[in-house]
Amino acid sequence: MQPILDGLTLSPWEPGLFSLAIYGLMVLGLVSLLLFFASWLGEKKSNPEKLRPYESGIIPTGSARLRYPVPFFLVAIFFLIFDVEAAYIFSWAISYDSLGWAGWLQISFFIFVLLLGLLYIWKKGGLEWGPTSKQD
Amino acid sequence: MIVPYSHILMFAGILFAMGIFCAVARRNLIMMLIGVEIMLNAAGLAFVAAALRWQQLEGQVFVLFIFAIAAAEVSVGLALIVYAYRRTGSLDPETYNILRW
Amino acid sequence: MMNVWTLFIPELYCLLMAVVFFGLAMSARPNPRRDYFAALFMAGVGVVVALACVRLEGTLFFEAYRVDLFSQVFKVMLAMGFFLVVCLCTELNGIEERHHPEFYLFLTTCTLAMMMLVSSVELLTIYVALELSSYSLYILVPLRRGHGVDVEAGIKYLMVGACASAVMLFGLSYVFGVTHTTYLVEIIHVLPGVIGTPAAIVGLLLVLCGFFFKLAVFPFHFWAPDVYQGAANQVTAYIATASKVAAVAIIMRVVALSGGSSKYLVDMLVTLSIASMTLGNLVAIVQKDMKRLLAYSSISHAGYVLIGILSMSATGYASAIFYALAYLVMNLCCFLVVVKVSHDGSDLKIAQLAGLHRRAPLLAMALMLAVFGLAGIPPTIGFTGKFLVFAAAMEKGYVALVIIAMINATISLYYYILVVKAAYLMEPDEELPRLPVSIPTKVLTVALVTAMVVFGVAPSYLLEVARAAARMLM
Repeated sequence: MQPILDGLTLSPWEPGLFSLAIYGLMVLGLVSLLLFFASWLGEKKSNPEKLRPYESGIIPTGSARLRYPVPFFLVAIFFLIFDVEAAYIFSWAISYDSLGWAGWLQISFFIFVLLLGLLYIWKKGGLEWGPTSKQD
Repeated sequence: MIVPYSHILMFAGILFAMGIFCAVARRNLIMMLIGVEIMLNAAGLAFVAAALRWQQLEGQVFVLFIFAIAAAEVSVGLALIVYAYRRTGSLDPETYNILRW
Repeated sequence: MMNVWTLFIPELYCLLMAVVFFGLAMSARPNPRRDYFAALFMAGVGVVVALACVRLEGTLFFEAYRVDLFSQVFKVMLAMGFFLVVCLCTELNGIEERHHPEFYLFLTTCTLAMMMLVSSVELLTIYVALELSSYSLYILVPLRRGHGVDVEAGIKYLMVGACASAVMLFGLSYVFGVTHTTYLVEIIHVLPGVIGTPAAIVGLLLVLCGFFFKLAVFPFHFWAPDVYQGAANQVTAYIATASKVAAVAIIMRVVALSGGSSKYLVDMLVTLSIASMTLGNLVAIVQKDMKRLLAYSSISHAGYVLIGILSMSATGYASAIFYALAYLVMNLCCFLVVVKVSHDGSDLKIAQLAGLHRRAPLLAMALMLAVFGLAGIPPTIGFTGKFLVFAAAMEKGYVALVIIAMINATISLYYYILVVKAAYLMEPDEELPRLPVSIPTKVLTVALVTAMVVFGVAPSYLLEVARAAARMLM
């Protein structure tokens, strides 16, 4: 494939742009028309019953905002880290035969470092869960 | 390459500008962090486009690294934000103004 | 094979240190003395290792990593900075005892990352090294014990840093898109040809933004005062010295890419340099907190270093290297005094320096010399550094810039003298006891002061080294 030159040359892609624009305008027009009708024709009487959040017919109790316990965040963070590192392991795995032992050593080192991280979390109580976990 | 490189650059630029706006204008630390993530994604997009333009894999590798680094960034950021939230009880950056001049 | 790995010894040694601190962090009960002596010993050996490796040359990891005199000189500086910061940790009261091993661990990883940063000659390697060093610092800043400012400083640092690194990454993507390579060696051939195109110049400027954040140059400076004040004193000392040195190194590498042929780039650097100097110096005048004052002074010093870099000549780069070294020594000397005077780990107000000449004459003398050095008064290394930087700029004909810089140096003299006045002429409200200064501290202070004066009077050896290192860039 040739590198495509910068500039104002028409790409084969551009004719399609016109119909996309027309389509977009139509969608925009239709949605705004519907919204306009809904607000114009709709009834605008409000009372506390109507303003109350709908929770499947049950009257809500307490605030909807509650403080998540910190372990939720911790687990989210740990998951994020260890999950994304799998991308490297996958990319090594699909070409492990061409990478040879050098690649194996490198990925082993990588996994070893990850394990050290896990060990650290474990030791410092990051994985503890439940009501008896350490406070602050 | 069906879509021209310059279009992708423009798109990446718009995405990046949106990310900057989100990172600068939002009054919530988590939203600011998300703005930074959007900026990183814009950069990743430009990398993939460049990789496709020159038929070189470095751009893709770069994106792979951006993933991991973004994850590390979110982790550090989120940990710090949780810590800050427990200390001050607020996610609004306006509350962090003890230090000035 | 062995031969290749010897090139990597300073970094491997840092990695080993990190592993040791990791092991210490896993131990059940905190033991600050043990951590301190382990850190001190290993950091000391680290300086020796870095010095022993100074003559190595070669490339590693598919040419992505170049070991040459330039990188090795900076590695020695980084190892020295790390060692001296560890020396300041005798009373690490700003950080909880159970976090001391982590503190050393992240200092080590940050040093490792910066050593990799000054050696990398490939965009991805640069990016990863830069991020590793940044994240270590993001964690170090809020480690401080106590009173809420640390969280604020940490959040500000993280947010500004993350934005700066995203901007830099976007710039990298443009540079890659224009030059279709990630190797600086190839970019240096391609880029001067296309430097006129908007994408190339925008990309390069955005890349520089990320490094300007590290150096706290004008539009990215606003984290510096808050972080300096909010972080523990030792962490601030590290951010103010070692991290600045690494930033100078990488900015030189990137600016050298343009081949000196871009007028936009020079204009931009001139503007930023003037803005940094002026803003830093003017705002520093009204500061009451010593660390904030040093933060603004570091912003102005970033401006002076940029003068050397923007000359884009061998003498310019050499002068910038020399200036970075001078700045490292002078600033560490300042922080030595800050750490010792506020040994409970609190922030130090300038007024609290009152009567220092009677409480600890040696520290007062060191502070005076270091501050005069920062102001650029002759018998110190700071004067030599400024002189070299200005001379390099004059050689290129930037007369107006040099005059502005000199005016700035004069302004800065005012607030530096305020510090000296507080230490020598003002009397404390109530009589304070003498500061206990241990023998090792005395030795360290004398060594720093000697280095400042001796290399200020006879800089020729260091200058030769800096010149040889700068030639590697051209």
